[in-house]
Amino acid sequence: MSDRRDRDPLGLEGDGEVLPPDTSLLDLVDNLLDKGLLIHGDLVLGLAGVDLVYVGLSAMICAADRLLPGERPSRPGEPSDER
Amino acid sequence: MKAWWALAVVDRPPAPRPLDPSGLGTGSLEILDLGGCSLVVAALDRAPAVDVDALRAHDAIVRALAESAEAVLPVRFGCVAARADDLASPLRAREAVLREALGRVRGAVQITVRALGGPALGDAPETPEPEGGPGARFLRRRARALTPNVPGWGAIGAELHALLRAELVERGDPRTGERWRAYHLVPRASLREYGDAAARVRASVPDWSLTFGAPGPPYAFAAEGGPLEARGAGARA
Repeated sequence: MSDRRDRDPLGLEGDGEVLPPDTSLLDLVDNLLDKGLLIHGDLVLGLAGVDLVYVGLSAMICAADRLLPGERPSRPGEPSDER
Repeated sequence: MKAWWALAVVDRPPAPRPLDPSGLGTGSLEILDLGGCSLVVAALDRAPAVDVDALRAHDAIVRALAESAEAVLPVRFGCVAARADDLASPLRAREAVLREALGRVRGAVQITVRALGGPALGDAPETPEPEGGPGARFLRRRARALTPNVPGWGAIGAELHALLRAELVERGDPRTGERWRAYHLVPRASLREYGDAAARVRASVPDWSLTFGAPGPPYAFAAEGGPLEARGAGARA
């Protein structure tokens, strides 16, 4: 029992109603693509057909459909202005 | 050309055990000294292809680092440079802020709470602000719009909040049916108590369809100067 609780400290293992099947992928995408420390550098992202904005140095990233209306997202591979 | 792929800032270099970056590509893990802390990077032959496997590999390395370090600041996926110093120099300039951020997350994990139902959201209440120009006012309005007011969450989640070091609340992604989400920074020592409280909170509002993710590295709390609204008398343990 204590081993299981160590592995599953929230006691929710196997409870399909609490943890939808795609929770881990959702957390993965949410955390790694939208959170975390941002360092100066190049970010080149495109994932599973979802357009993500290519940015140069120290800028925010966001999903293309979150841009303001009228904005045209830049494409991965476009050169950065910074060098 | 070698690709230096940033993974995490840690309070001290990881214990000398093999951390395999092969999920990201061919290369090795390197430790860059930032002064009072260290940046862990993967020195790769080339930047990894952007796919779910690379996300999982990045996350797996960060999780392994979090197991051996008391404090870890995960780096966002995709921070890559042609030279190691291009990653380390900007961070050395922010070393004091990074040490403060490491202190915030020391000994704690992140748990993401998601609500698929419940009451309609409102904006965070407007508070008296110091004077500022139009740009500052615009940013404050945007910040309030992005941080929703979840009616009743303060009371319903009170026993959770008492265990937290910090909480960040965001509007959910409507494409997934998510109404809102909260990132909880939970001291490891409080995890079991948190789990018990989470079960009670979830049961108290079945129509909110709350889900609690597994504990993980504190991605949401890694940015310097991020908001840390500690809620509850037991916060900042």
